[in-house]
Amino acid sequence: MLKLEHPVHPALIQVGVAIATVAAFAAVVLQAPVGVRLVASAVLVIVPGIGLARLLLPRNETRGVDGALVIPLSIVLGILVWLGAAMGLHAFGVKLGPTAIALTLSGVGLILAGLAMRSGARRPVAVRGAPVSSRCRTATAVVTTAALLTGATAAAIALIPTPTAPYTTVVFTDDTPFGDRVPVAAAGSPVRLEWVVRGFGQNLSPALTSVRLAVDGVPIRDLAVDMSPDTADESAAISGAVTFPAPVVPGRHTVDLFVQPTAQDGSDVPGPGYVSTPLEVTA
Amino acid sequence: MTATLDDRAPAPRRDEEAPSTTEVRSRNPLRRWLFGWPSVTVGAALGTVVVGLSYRLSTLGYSAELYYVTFWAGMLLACAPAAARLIAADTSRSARLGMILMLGVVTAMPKYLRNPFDPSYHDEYAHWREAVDVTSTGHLFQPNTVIPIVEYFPGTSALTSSAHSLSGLSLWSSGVLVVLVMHVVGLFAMYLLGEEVLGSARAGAVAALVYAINPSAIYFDTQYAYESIAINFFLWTIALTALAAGASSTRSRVGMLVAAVLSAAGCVVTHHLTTIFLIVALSVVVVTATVRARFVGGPSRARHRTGFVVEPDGRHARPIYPWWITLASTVAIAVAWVTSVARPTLEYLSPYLGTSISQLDNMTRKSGEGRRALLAANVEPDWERWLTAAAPVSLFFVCVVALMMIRQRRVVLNSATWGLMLFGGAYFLSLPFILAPSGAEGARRSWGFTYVGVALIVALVVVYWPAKRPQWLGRSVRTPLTAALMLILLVGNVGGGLNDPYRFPGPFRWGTDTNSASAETRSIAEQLGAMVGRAGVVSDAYTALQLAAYGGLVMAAPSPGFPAWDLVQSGEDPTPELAKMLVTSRYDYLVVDVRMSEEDPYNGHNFGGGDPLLGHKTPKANLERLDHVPWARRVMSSEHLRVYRLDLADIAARED
Repeated sequence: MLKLEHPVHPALIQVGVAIATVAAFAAVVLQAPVGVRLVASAVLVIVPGIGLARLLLPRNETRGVDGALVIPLSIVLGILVWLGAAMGLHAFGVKLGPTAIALTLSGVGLILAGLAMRSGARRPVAVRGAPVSSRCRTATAVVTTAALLTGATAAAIALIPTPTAPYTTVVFTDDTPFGDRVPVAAAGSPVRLEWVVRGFGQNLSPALTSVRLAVDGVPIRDLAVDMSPDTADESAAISGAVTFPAPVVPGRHTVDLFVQPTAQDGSDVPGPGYVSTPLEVTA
Repeated sequence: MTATLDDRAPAPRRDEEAPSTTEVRSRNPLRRWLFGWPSVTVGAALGTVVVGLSYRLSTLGYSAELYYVTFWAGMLLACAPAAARLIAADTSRSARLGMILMLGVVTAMPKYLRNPFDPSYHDEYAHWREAVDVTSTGHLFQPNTVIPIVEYFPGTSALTSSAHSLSGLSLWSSGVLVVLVMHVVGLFAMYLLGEEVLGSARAGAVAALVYAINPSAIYFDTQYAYESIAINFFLWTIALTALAAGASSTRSRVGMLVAAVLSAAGCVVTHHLTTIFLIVALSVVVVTATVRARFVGGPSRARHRTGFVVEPDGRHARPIYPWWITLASTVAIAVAWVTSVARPTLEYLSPYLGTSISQLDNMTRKSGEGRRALLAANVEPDWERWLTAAAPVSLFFVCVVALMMIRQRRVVLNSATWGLMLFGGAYFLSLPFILAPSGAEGARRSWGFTYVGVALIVALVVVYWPAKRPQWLGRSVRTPLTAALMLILLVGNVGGGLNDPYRFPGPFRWGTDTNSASAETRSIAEQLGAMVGRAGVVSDAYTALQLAAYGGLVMAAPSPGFPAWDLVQSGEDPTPELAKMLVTSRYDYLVVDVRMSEEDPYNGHNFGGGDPLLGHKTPKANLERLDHVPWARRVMSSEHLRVYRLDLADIAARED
């Protein structure tokens, strides 16, 4: 079956491309839902890609209806336009972000598509076109295949178990032990150390969690411990602080903090071990 | 039969022989059902689920034999119907294109299912972190601690960050989507190349099929990394140049060449090694054409004024100058990029080739010393190992058959096709390097490129070999032989690609990039990163990946000149020299995973090739002493991981 290349008036195609591009830009800038923005992203690949492809390979110069060439080449060129846009923005010192990228791609896409249509619009050619029924069959096959493969992939992912070995971590929440400075305290004065225990794979019980402290390897019995569930953390965390009297002997000492959490149902959880910090005691 | 594969007498396109799917369908209802679109789609869907099942079995610790068999059952279910239609002589061109699309998706599927939500391969950690840093800062060229050279090749991070910004998908999903799209369109490039240089849609389809099952395609070149994207620019550059050479008008030739050069530019800014292979491939083509023009007897030596290569009958053949233009442009862009932006590239790449060649030389002199056991440390079933060994042997025989066909003038090739096939011959040259410890990686990496030529050779033989030969018991065995070849290539190539822990998820296994990763390490990385920012950290090769990726930490790269591994691989305090290096470079933290002292590392090392305890686990005492030395204090801890704050100033002071 032979038909004209542009059964729709070129001006209508131009308007359609422009509307699609502007709508894609708007979807990105307005942070539309991911599904909508995925379609918008596809538009922002295809419009500049087809524009560039048609500029380089006009229909009347090549196998104009060759889907094997034009469709994938348009995608490759569209991706190259993305790459060029990102590098161009970087070169001009513009921060890469949704608005800057979408604006650049929309602008470039409209320019390329406009130029391509201007160069090709005056030369309608007769080409072989597929019957409407064949196109519908192809579209149905593509949609069905995409749906089946998506479902199969989701099922396959669901089959693969995710390792869920529970574990806990303990860390000081004060950043002094992480830095160059050594905490300093006067001899015999109260010292407060803050920490957090995070449990992954189980909920921890503050009431059942035990805390021990040793200075220079000697256990300290005179401890005040505060603990509370840390609701700010998405893991099951316990924030706590331990207060103890600083040693009376001036000099550098080593403080080891042991936290042994227990699950809310009373079962044991993997112990995180201990954390340690030096303490400089002044007279 | 004589097929002429230059443009003096182009072979008929197979779509002309099978003009419509309707005609094919009505011919044989059984074939229509077996190889029709529904069976291909259902096969692909079922195959996907079965591959997922194999991953379930491997994760749960079932025997390797079981999950390998399951995996291949799934892959065959997914690939065989599409492959059959691609190879069949009576498939229409449009159906072949649909099958290539399907093949592109199903060959990307095993890698996608391997780790659908997070990075897992070594290079994936590097690229994911690069994309995170580019997105968070809004600027390209961010320093990368896992693979420092990544900083200078921003193609992957630019595309990922753009896709993320536009689509709203997570950075990981954005990157994976870009790789998938490029993988699929890359197969179309291979199809177009095969169709153009071998003069048949069927040849293009077979070339795309063979390329889709090359040793790198199914896992390595579908991972989220720069080569996975750049290799498709490589394919498009070559395909567009071939199309330009065969173009019927100057306008379309120029258009194709501009597109080829743009694609080459995309390749240059995305991956160094792919750019080198692109330059080599283009060089082989132009050198082959030049040599043929000069030395092939008769009128072919003559040159037309326009620069067209003139073939023996004196008529214009396909010009070779488009190949020269693409080569010159690629070299110019690559030189400009490396000299102005990516200067460290030469320093980064230069050690590899020299080291592997010298190791090969040593191996020939000293038997048994430094020899790498082929396929060692592997749980692959024997049958997959045999097929892995059979793949290059089969290809060798295919090459012999191709040479016979050319010698008997069953086919006549033009210079560009000769050049591409010679480039494919480098596949066989790379095989000895698989035995050299540092050459094995390079050899494997080359196959994704040289398979362009290999695929053309296989397509030539499959399509142009006489239909009735060879015969056995009076019947042609061509179809079973073709099916057997494809089976050997599919299974053998995947088996010869990446090792078991890269291919299959599994229980925790110390000493692999993939299965040594754990949620526990990720949690420590994130907490440490949140606490100290981009601080310098010393750690083993496996923990370092997650620390860098999830914590944004700057990882030390131990080497003989900077033996940071001595902090744990030696039972003694660091030397003043090492302490000074660590202090001045601000490597303030040490992270150890105690599992390094519980089992030997799968990869044979804990700190790379220079590890002083190569092949051995770290002595437990070396880790326990860290809790008692004055220069380290534990500031973060979990069941298996300890984070130490280093205080090496006193030891470093002794150096002065």
